[in-house]
Amino acid sequence: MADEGIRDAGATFFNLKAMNRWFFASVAVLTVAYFWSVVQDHDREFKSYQGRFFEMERQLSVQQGNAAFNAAGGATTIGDGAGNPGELREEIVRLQGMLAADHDKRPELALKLHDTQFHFDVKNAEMKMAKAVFEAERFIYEELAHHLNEHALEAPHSEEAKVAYEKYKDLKRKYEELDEANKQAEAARDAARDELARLDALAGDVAVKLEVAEREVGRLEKRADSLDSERLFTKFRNSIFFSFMSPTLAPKKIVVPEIFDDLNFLSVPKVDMCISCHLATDRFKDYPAGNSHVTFGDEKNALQNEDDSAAFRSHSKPELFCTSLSPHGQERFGCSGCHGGGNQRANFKQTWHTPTDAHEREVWEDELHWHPVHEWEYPMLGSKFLDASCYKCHQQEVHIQGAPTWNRGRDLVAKLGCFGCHKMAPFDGARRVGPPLGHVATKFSDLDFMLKWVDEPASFRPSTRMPAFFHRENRAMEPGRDAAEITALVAYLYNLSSPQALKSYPGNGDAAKGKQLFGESGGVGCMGCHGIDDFPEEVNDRVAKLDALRHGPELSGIGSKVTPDWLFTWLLDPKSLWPQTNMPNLRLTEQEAADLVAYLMTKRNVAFEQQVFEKPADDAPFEQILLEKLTERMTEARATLDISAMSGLEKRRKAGEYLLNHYGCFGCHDIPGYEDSKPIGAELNGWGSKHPDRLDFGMVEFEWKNPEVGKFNRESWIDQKLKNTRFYDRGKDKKPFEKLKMPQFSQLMEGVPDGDRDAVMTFVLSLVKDNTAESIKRHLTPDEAAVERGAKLVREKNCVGCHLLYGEGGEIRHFQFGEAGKAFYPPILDGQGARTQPEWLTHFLADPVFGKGAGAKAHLRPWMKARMPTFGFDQSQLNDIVAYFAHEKVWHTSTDRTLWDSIATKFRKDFLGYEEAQLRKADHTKVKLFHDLVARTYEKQGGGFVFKSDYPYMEKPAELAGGDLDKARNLFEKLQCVLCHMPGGVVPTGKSAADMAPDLSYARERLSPSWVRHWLEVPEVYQPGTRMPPFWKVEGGVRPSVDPDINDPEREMSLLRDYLFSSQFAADYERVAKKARGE
Amino acid sequence: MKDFFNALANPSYFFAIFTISVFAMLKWREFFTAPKVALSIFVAAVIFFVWAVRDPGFAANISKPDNIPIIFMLFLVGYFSWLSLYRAVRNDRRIDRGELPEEAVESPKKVLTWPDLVYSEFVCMLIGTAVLLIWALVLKAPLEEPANPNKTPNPSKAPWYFLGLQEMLVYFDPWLAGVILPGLIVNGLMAIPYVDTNPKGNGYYTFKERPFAITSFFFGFVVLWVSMIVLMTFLRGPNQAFFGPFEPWNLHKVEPTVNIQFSQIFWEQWLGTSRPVGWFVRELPGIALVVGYLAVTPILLAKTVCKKLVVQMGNARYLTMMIMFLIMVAMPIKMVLRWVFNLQFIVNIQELFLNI
Amino acid sequence: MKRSNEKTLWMLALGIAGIALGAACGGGESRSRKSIRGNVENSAAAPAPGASGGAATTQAAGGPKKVDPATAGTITGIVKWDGARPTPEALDLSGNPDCSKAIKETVYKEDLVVNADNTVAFAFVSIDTNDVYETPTEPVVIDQIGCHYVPHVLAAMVGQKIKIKSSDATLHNVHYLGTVNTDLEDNFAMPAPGVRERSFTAADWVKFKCDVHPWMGAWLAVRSHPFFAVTGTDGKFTIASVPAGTHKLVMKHESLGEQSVTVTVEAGKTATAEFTLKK
Repeated sequence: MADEGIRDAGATFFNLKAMNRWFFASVAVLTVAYFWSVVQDHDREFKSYQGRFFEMERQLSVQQGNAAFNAAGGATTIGDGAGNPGELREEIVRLQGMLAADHDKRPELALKLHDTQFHFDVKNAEMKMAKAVFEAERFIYEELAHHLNEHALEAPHSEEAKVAYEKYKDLKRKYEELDEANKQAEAARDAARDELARLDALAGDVAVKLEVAEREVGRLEKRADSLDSERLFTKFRNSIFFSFMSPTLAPKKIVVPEIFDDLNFLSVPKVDMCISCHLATDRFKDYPAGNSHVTFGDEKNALQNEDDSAAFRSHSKPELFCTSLSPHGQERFGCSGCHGGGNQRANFKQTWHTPTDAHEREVWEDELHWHPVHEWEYPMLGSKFLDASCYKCHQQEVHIQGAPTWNRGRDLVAKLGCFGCHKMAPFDGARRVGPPLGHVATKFSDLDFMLKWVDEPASFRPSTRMPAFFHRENRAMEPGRDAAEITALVAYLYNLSSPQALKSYPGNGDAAKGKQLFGESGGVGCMGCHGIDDFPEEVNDRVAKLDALRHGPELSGIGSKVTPDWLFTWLLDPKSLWPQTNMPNLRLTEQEAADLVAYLMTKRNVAFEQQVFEKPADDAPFEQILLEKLTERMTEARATLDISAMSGLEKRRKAGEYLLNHYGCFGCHDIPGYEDSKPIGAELNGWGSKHPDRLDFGMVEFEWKNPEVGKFNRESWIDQKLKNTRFYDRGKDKKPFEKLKMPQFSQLMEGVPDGDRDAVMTFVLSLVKDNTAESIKRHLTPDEAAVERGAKLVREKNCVGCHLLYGEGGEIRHFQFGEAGKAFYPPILDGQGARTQPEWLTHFLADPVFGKGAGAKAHLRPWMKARMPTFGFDQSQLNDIVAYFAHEKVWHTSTDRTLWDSIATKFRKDFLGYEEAQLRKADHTKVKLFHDLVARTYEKQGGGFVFKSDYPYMEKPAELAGGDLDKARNLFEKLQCVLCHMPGGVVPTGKSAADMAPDLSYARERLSPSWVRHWLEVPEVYQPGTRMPPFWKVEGGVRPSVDPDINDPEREMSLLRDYLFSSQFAADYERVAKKARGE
Repeated sequence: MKDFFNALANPSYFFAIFTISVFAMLKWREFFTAPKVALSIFVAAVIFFVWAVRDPGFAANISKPDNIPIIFMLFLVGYFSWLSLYRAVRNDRRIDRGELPEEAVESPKKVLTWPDLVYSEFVCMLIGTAVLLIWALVLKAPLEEPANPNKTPNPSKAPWYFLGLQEMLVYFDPWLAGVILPGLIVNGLMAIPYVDTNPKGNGYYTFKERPFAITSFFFGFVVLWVSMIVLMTFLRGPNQAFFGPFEPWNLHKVEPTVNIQFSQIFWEQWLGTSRPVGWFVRELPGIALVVGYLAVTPILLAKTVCKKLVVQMGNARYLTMMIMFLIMVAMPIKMVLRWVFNLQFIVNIQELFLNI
Repeated sequence: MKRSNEKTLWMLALGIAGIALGAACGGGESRSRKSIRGNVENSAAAPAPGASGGAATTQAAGGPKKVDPATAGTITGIVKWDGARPTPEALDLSGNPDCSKAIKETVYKEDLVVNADNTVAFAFVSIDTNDVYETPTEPVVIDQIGCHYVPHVLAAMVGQKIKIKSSDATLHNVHYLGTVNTDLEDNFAMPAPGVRERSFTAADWVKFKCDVHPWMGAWLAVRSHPFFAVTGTDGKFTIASVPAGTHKLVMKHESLGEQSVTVTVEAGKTATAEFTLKK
């Protein structure tokens, strides 16, 4: 047994040497761990990017510095070292040459100045002396002469006066001689002084030039040094332990107080740290622009060389984004406001970059260890959907300039009628897209048509916008169910239908004439909205895609759909059958309407007519439907009791009623009794910020959540939903009324080119929760609001179907055939606000006087086949449209065109893709965007617009009288305008109606005087390809005069314009025309 | 093979096997604590573990930074249980032979504060800091995205050391499992010095001299606390449903869980009548059962098995110890009742929010 | 630690820091300053992307060619008409009295002119090459007499001056469009007799028209070489001083399209070619 007691002092329980070893080992491990933690904290991702970027910046500053240095003569001091040529260099060399030549003359000049100065001083003194004596003598002589009553001072009579005069004259002569000598000496001295001053000025000038160049070189030197990471001081500042003080490699951030993130019910301002790595976003002059995926008509820049990295690209479309001049300055808007992604972080992974395609994803995963970020629901918007982030600020605009995908998405949603079922802010209160079903019995040729139509609309008209409700995959397991449901629905609708008073079709229509009216050279206007297979679309490079956005239905099978009576009544007055229709009244005469009905009734869809719709044999399927519905609220026994009490027809109708409420047909159609029922679909306001967990991914949720697949997000969900609306029912066992019921839109299905589906997705993704401050939102001024209301109407009533408007629309042009067809193009509406007078435009839109047909008085353009229809606008709509044209900020309505042109040319020089030819091929919103951006600078520099002046808005020119009137009259006859502008629609022999020009007698109350004046000057700018010759075309820089006795082109043009507006003009016009026709 | 373990992971089997193996180990401790046997068990455990990690679901679960401590805990519990029993067995043999236990021989009565105490503590601190620092550098705990209160993670689990408590919540009413039982655990630990009158086994490993204390500790800590942590970590997935260790966590798994009350069983199943309206009469059988269990059993035990104990400890100590012991044993009883009979509460007085 | 040691230590530390700081930011010409002023690094440094480097002027192509008269030959030929001779249609100018006043004889439509001896006038024949030759100084003239273009088809070289005359008192507007370069378009008025000058920068087949008198029309062929001719009232054409060698001879008519034939020219000799056109 070991003895207990105390161990002797110094003995320890543990072996001390082992303890020391343990101590040193653990200290070593701890120190290593400590340094490891410091290093790990030190090496940040953005530091490598900033390092590379600052080196590139340094080299750029060196190059620019060297260029400035060479331009300044490439010499550190005057006259030494050889430099390479530069324009500043040549001037300095020239000055130096002169300087060198005069240099040795300087002492000689100085000496000469000295002598002449001395000589002048002496002469001056002598002259002053003589002058004093002479003036004294003059006084004496004048007194004497006065005293002696001598009147002629120069010829005195008395002897005494003569002697005095002699003395006086002698002194005067001496004084004048000396004065002369003094002036000569002064001149010599001045010459010498100027000579010397010129020499010094020369030296001063060279010095100033060198000094300016030197300062520029010095600035760039300092800049290059500050960026030079090799310098010891910069190394010290960024070194591992001292980098806390003021490092050059540091995270940079933009605080965006006006855009928030909604975190825990707290709106936290965005803090974007993207510019820590993306360092050149607003440097579009020095660094190439990034890739803009939107084919906005221009740039697609591949990476140029190996050390070029996507991080050092300037922002694409610099005229719109990032640069301080652009409307979206980077300091105010930051980056994640538009791009999305995790902000408040400065590394690639956690900011949730979204790869555009699978390949890019692989590259990122290998090189940058990219992975989906856990728990952050707002990844960066895919570049296809970037336009979606414009809406949250631009909520008051119909089309957002610069967001073509969103615009197309909005148009598609407006035309397809998604808001019929899904509540959406932009479309609150919008009209139902489908025709009313209140009178189906009288409209359709037979009941069978409606059955087949509801069964499969696309089989009758492939381009229809009516979606397919039936034959969907999640109902395939219930054979015969579709047929039963359709029969019930149609039975119910037929029961609701009430008769409608129709004009009866007289039956004397001539189909051939009808065909001519409909489509020849675009027809009376039908081809602006409707397509038909007899007149295929003439494709040229500028054709806009005629597809889902075609305004009216395609009419190739109309004959088998409607009854002649209905069609006859409809053509004569569409609003009588459907008050909210967008189909205007073409003021057809009864005969014309009859011809059209005859033609259209021949257009039958025989294949569709031959299809047979098998109705259910007995009542069993209807009972099944009723049972399913009733058992939701009562026991089965009770339900079967109620059902058995119904007759066969009642069963069908009752089932139809339940189904109508189930499918929500009242969303798109006006159905009696359902006028104000609520949309049945999910509300989409704020859908863009909905959490993926709230979306029903069905059975694929587990699979899509897997990071490799990474499809557990909003974009993939809605993409799949639009492709196949019943996809998420797969693998689920549900009762029929519980199944998904969204119909399938053929324009957005799988296999259809993705463009349209991406556009609709972009629109839906743009409806985000409101996380922007009011101050940053784009608030429209009253004028701009008027423009937006007008723009909305222009699209709803499809003015762009016939008229071309800044490159958009003009669809009827695709049916005017060949070169001759050009004459039948409806007028281009660019700048209509500046061209016509507001009063006239209001009256014209309300009741288009020009045009054939009932009520047309005379004709402005006699050759036109297409008619300007009567739209039946109410007063507020008229005001909106007129305000739209008048308040547009474009070249045409600008008052100071030279200022506008100078800004436009500078804009085209600075930014890519706005050349004339590029704009013609680009998307039409780009043309409008170009006008908007130039208008923005134009207004900043004080430019004004036509509508800014007060009433009467357009000053009428003063009445011509006397000489001016005669001059104007001769000029009018001399230019022979009447050869084309023949009044009264008369066509001289040898010419066809298509060669004529508008009738000038309407100009007085139709056109704006300032527009006419400028039109005479440059017609081809207003209407490219016009036939109007510019009489005063600038030839070799000079604008020639055409009338010798006025001999001033400007005055000639103003006189002609005043004559056009004078009251005399009407009478003369008729006389001159007759004379020209030789009558 | 994996399905076998998944099946084994059914809570009742898992818990029963675990309890039996712990008691068996205590009973035949000489055999199990022999280094060779212990080592072979350890190696078997490691092999099983390595084989298990090949399953991606299991690996993902294991490699989650939050679960790393649990793995350390399992191995440490195993090691220190072995160490204490092994030393206890050796000391018991020495005591049987009348010798002093090993601890008396090894260490003198007194040791110097410096260097023995302070120096060794300092080195431990250094090692501890180093391990923590390296652990932090290797397994990052980044500041993740701000939590979104609208989206609770599924399954939402407490930190690893509270998982036992969270498991109790499944079986008891929150006030009982959240307040009373943890209180009792703490009070029980405080009461031990006062209740434990046995002078022996102080300062050295032994089993024979304190069998009851050590078994009840093993039962309380290892069987109840550790097993529930393991159960909660590895065997409970989304919606707190049971998943085998190798079963992928499918969100849509639906388990047949029904809550039956003892009052239903008593009145409806046994007596076939509908339950009385008043809550007191309805719950009377339940209350009787609970009171009987807590009041009657100590007396019965005192009369029969623990007669010697009562004498030794005196009535007061005996009663406090016995009540706490019974409450501890009540936990497994409730778990078994739950798993086997789907019994939720013995006493179910919703009107007063009082459920046992 | 004695007080003195402490002090020395502090002095030492301050000293080191001072030296480090001094070296870092101070003396000596930095590499950027040297390279800006001495053109040293600039030539070595890789040009920063996007910076506007010196424009590499592309070497101008060989100057305009000249024909060596010794080796030149001539090509003559005729364009025949196969089939009945279409009767020329007179134009009714009564609609515009100034036109009929300005010209005595009747004016015929000229989009297809078949001469009495069954040969085709106004056919443009040229060698198919885009070699560049000297542009001649004397201008080509096209006149508007009696509201019709004379000549109806003409040819000129790239850069050659074209005098566009109007001898009519009435208003004409010369409106020409390029068919090869569709962006080429010009439109100017000639209300009274006068002359305007134009020249074309690229080979083209330019269509002239007048919007006031739709029946007026003319075609101008622009080529970079002088080897072309337009058949006259006898349907014949001669192209002088053609360099020896085989050439592809192309005949183009405004409404009847193009035909081509290969012809070999020897020095000093005349080669002949023949084309036939039919409805």
